[in-house]
Amino acid sequence: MILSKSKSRNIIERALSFSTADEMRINLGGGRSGNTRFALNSITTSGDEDTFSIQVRAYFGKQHATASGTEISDEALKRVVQTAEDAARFVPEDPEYVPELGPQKYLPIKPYFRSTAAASAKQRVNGAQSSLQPALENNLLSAGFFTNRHGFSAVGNSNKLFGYYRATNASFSVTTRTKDGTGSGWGSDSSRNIDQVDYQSASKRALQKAQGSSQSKTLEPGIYPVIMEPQAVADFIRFGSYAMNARSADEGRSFFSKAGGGNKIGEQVAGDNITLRSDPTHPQLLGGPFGGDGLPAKKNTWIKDGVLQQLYYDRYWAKKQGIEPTGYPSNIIIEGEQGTLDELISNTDRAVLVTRFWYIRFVDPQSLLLTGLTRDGTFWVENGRIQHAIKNFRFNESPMAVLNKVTGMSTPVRIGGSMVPAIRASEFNFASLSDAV
Amino acid sequence: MRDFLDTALNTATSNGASYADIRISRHKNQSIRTRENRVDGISNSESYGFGVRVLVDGTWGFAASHRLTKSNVAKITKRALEIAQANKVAQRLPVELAAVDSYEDEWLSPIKKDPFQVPIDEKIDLLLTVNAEALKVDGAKYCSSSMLFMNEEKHFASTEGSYIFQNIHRAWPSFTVTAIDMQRGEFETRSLDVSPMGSGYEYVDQSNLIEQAPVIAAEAVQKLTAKSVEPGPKDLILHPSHLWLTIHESVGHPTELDRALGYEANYAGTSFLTVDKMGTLKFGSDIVNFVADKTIDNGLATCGYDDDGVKTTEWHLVKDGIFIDYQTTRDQVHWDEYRNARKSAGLPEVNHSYGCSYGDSWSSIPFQRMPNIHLEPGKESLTLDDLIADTEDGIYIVGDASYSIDQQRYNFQFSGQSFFEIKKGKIVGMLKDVAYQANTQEFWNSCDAICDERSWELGGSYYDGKGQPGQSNAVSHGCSPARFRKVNVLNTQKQI
Repeated sequence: MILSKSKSRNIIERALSFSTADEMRINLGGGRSGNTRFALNSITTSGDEDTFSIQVRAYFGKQHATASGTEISDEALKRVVQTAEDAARFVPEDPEYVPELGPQKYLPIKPYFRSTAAASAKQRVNGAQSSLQPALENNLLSAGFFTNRHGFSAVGNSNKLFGYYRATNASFSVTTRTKDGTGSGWGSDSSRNIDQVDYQSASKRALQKAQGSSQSKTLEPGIYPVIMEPQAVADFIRFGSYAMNARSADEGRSFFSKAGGGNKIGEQVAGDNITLRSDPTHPQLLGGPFGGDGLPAKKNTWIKDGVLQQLYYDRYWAKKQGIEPTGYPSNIIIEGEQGTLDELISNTDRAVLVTRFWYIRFVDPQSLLLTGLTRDGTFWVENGRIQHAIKNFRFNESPMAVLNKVTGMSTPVRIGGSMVPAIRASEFNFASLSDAV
Repeated sequence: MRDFLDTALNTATSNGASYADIRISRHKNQSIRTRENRVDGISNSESYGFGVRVLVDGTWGFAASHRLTKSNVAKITKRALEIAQANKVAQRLPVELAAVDSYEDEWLSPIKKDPFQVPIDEKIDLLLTVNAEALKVDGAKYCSSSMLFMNEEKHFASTEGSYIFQNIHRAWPSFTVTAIDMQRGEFETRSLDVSPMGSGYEYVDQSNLIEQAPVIAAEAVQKLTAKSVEPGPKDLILHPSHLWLTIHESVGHPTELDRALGYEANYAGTSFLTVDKMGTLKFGSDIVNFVADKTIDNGLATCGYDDDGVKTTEWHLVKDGIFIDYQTTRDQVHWDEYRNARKSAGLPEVNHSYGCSYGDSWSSIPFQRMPNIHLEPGKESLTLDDLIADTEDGIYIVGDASYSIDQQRYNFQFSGQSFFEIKKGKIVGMLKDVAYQANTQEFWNSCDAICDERSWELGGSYYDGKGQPGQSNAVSHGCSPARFRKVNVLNTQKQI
């Protein structure tokens, strides 16, 4: 269900009118989303969801609790308000209580495109056909997913805060495999604007990688130079961004904690060619203008020229430290260099080329050591050219270690909610071989 | 309620659907989270709506909405029909459904104490006491604790004539202690070894959280100064609080029939257990038997009927070490690859679904999800103490932690919560920086001892992910402690 700005304001005011609490915040969300799955060269399932949610946070002094529901009648609104209030009355006072925000000024971001909102099941089938037909013609197997969503978010509270925006998103991904199971390739694209989702190119990449990866050779596990394609970079680096919570660092339980106390802000944590930032206004990413508590989304530079500039501060921790809250990173942007992935490959003596990673998990939060596997196209590069496909690896490596060994980057490209380049690094620990294709 | 259900079914069949079903469900979640001496958050969420699935000329269509009125049920059903029509152009594998009996029935989780009726202040008091008890341990710096309760009330009806109501409960108390050596800039965490369960609040009462708090906290502190493991091949004894996750990843997912045939290739992946291996592949040693089941008391995936309206059951996936079957739904049983492979292997013909269909919300499309899968206990008398006494040089691992496995489920790496070094039949101290890496088939073939039923227990997860859009499935895995010979152990310490 898409509610207009005025209707959202009206529902928030109605819900607030049922409140007996000292303070209250209401979050509304909802929308329409459609999805189409395909596998084995055929459509498999496809659906359409119409959703709505209301979340109420009630405060009595410093006591607070939250309740949520999916119904919109006055009776349902009263029920969800009362559920939150009933719970809040039983909660001890919160020593970390921060009053609700007053009215805020938000960045003028419009992450909404009519084309995406209007997309149909037929349109998604057309996208699927961009892979299904070539797969049939080339005796390959295609599996993929195409989804579009049109939603809204609204926030309001008893301190007269109000925010509203609509957002759309469309995402296409495809895996193409050889029928004998020896080759697999992957491609994807996503955008706020479905007209910019280049499913043709994604399908073509998946097909080429499937064909190119089928005769893989075994490269013994070990430490090798690596070129991570942008998708692999996005997969790998986001785990580093998860750890950028200032409180965890200050409390001594983070990679960004400093021995003896405090955090590493101001210290060199990556190579001097690394700058990592967030920008909700980036035209290719377009984040939401506010977070769940109504705090405005902001531009932030987290690492500049390898030096840690900032960590993520929520409202409580920022207040305690006497600084402004940063807002949660709205996206991840890594400043790259000029050039394409192909140019990066052509300037490389030897490296393992990784299409993407799979099943990444933390092994040790102290060093941000991660484990995971390569997937859907891993290749050996030598003398500036891809020489042949290699078997997949399991890795045990830390993104912060890799960001200290970057020897080259391409121009950043959009990968989901990130703008990231392909990255070449001098060392990457490929710990064991995987038979998986 | 019957009016809503019938509106969907009648609208579907009168507009060309050969099959239709509808689920109307209410999903309630309560979470209470605390840290140290404060309540971090209390949340009561509720989600209510319906989803209609139709089959038109062998093509699925699905639509869902939060607005439950008769006119909207009819509208949404028509939307599902339109989607099925739109997809027909790219349908090359027409759906067929295995036969199913019709049922008018209800099934309720056999809970003793409804968690949603237990006062919140009682829950808060318990969690804050846990935190306080943990923080009394010298060196324990932080403690976070939580309780998560889930309830699904689900009405299902299908054009096969079934009308089924189910009320499913799940409960999960948990806490994590962090110990910090600020001067050295090092920290360790230790989480409680209590899995979520298909239970009511009685499970919280039985979990002895307050008694466990100082024990868990002491282990967190001990980990700071534990010996860093010497890597290499080691014998591992894996406690059920750890082994359930290895079973989940290395046995549960590769025995999903949709994965094996390529239906999940774009996300979760495929499976090394291809259908031609049914009946012949030596999955594990002779003592290894895996049973899939949706009926065990307190199992997270336990219910009376699946989301195809199939009555739940149990069956063997691996028998005497041989891989013999998969998890299935109604629309998978007719697949030629499955049927022909069973025939070639001399396995009995299967014409019915094992009842593995599940959608995690009214707005989610039901598809094949994992049932509870258990490692049967050893048949000979054997306790954990016996097993440790019988081990010359090994590591005893308790609790689940880091886990990762490839997209065909060959190569995995697991870590744990606590690691104890075994020398000459005795635990001689604690280790840290331990993870083990193995190949699924080699690992299960290295299993040479499984404790008997006296130490068999359930572990499990609320959050088993699969599908696009992603869905979450709650699933339990039971086992006794078991030993695995010469597994590759890594040291995970890394200096940056």
